[in-house]
Amino acid sequence: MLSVTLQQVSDNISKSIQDFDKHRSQLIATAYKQGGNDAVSNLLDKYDSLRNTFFDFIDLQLDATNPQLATLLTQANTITSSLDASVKSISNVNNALTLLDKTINILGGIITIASAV
Amino acid sequence: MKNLRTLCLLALIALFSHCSTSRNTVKLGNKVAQSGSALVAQVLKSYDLIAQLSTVDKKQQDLIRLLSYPNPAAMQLPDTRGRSLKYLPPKIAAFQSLKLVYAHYEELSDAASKDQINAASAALVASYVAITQLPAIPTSVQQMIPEGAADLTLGNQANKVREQNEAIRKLTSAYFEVWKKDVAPFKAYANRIYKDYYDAVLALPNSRFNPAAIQQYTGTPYRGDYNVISYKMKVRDDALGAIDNVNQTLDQTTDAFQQLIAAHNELSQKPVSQSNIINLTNSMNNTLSKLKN
Repeated sequence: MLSVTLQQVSDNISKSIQDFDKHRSQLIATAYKQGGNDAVSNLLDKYDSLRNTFFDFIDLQLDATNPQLATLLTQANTITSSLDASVKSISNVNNALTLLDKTINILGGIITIASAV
Repeated sequence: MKNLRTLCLLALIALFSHCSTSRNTVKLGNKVAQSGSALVAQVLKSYDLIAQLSTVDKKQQDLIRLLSYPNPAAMQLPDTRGRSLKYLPPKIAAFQSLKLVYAHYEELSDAASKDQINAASAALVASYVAITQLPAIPTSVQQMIPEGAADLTLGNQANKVREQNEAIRKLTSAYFEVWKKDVAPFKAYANRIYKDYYDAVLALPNSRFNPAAIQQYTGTPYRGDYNVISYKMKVRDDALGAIDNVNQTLDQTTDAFQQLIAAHNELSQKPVSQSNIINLTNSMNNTLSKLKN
């Protein structure tokens, strides 16, 4: 069983990058003395690889919530459709109110006529 | 006849009181919906801020690489790989769906719908008042009007606003869980990018800099190495400021998220506390307005 978290691993890589940063000028000077620009390139490529590994671990941490995204998208789409239906039903209420208003006026008219007879 | 008028008056009072509560719920629903839209827009801006860091990193690392070579004439042109985070796009897509949810919720609780319904309700109530002033109203009509009116007025919209609030509250809480888990990796990512830059600048030999050019650029009054070191300090402070900006943006977005969920919770209470919702949404908007990104 894995006993370290992704964050612990990325923290450790982060420390290695910081160590490099701290001794950067000496490391580059030594590399240059030993092998010129090629050695410096080699050293900086390794540094880039270390940083890329750190970013890979950041991606892995972000990936941890990715399985939830599909469910969230489905839920969001379902709610959007349901909201659409609600907005339509509100418009229908509006129509129903207008209709009821007309009905009451007609009924009122009938009652007026009936009470006059 | 007197009893009939009293009954009608009571029915009207009940109808108006029902309308007032419903109108309140719709109005508060709209406030929460608008706050939700503002929050999601902020979350998307925060994701964008993080997405842009890969371009910042590439520029910084290319420059650092160039300045690291003791013999630049013989080096290859620096072209470090811009390292974007590959799981940002699906998250942005997911939050865009939430944005759509709030846009529709705003529509459900918007002023136009309210105005239409208010106008229809007002016409209905006017007809009702007119009819109650008639000398003889059949009992069947008396019974029908208040019930029909109460069922079909604003209450319907208010019920929909409440019902949808519950679904959106749960959905937003689930999105918040995703957001909370992303905040720590985002901070680590931004910290790494800016820190690696200023650490590398601080480590550069002073001979790489031209003090006269720095003086022209920054206007500092120092000589030689002092000028170079003060410039290095400026680079460090700017980078620390950028890290601080990212951290504040993420933290305040988290705070605003919490306030939005609290406003949703309040809206599902019976009776709804108008002042609590207004305080929470105002506080959320204040939090968001303080953000630069």
